[in-house]
Amino acid sequence: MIGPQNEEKGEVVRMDKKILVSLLIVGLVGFALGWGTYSQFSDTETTTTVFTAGSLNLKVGDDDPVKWKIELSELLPGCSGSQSVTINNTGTINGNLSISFSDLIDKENGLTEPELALGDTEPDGELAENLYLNITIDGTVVYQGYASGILSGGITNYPLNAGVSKTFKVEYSIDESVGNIIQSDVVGFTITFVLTQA
Amino acid sequence: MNRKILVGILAIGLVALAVGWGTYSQFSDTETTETIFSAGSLDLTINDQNGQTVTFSWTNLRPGNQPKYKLTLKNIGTIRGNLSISNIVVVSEENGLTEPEIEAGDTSDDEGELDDVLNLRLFLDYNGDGWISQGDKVFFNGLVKNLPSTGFDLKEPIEPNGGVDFVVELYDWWQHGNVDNQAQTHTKHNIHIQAGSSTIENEFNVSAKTLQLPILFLNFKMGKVEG
Repeated sequence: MIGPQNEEKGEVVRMDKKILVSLLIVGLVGFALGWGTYSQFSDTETTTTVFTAGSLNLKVGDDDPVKWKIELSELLPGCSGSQSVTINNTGTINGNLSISFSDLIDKENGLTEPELALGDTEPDGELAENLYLNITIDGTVVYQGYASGILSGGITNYPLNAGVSKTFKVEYSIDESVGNIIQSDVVGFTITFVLTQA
Repeated sequence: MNRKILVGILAIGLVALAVGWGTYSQFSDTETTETIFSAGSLDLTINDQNGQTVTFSWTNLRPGNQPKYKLTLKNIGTIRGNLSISNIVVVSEENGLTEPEIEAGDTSDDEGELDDVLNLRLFLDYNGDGWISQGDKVFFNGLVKNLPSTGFDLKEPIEPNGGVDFVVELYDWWQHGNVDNQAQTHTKHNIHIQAGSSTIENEFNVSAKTLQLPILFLNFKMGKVEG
């Protein structure tokens, strides 16, 4: 019982083996052909992709970061003048400029005898309410009025395209009739320029 | 399935927002600059005194002497000033009658005679010797009563921390006989320098100071140099 059964099985095993071997051969040939084909019919193209970010750079005056500032002394009634600086977007993309004012100081800075004679007192100065300013960028008004109100001034979303320069100008004047009350007084404020991408 | 897709889209959106926000922050540039406006000052002192009242005395003026007083006027401010005498007031007061005055025929108790007899020189004494020398600027040389009430523009620029000597000299006061005696009591007056606060004008003047002689107020002022 066992023998024939084994023989039958042996037949089956042999057949399976043949099939497997054949498949293996076909597979190997296919693999070899494929390998050859793959090797022969391959083509490689190489390309370099560079992603360059645009730049946005604000330059005020000749130096970056800015060194330009306004420092005026020995002002007196009846005086006037102006200070200008070039605002430049030196980057490669267009931007919007905003200008704001902060940190207003208005100091008495000591009392001279003629100020004392007028009853002037420390610590608040009188120059801010007598210093008239006309601040413009390329003719557009940024602030117009006395320095005492400068914190309400400013401009936003002023277009400043790549490579474009504009002139920022601060004109100042002190009325002739102001008199001794402003002697030695000091006014100061900070101007902040911000350029953001359009 | 729909929910998964929505969640996926939302996630992508949030990532895009984060990236965009980051990009926005990076692409801005800020420049900050300072401004300082300082007013100058003009401040005149006489003999280094700068109070409301500056006083010195000169007593017992008498015929025959030639008293002079040297004032040093300084600019202790920060800008150049132009010195002038803004106005002159001649006050002639009797200050009581003495016996010699009465004998000399002075009967007016309200009007003095000193200005009729007193000669005065006013000059800028550049070399500081107290006398009119070559180059000194003489502004007045004559009887006190002829002084111009409008004063003088001395046209004298004084630099910050600079100064100039101004001499007031009385002279030629001995040849008028009875009139000299009529002027007698005035010799007992003192000479004062006072601050003249009323003359501060609406420009960068400096506390105009008044030189007060018995019969004379000289009002100095220093204004900004024009032009």
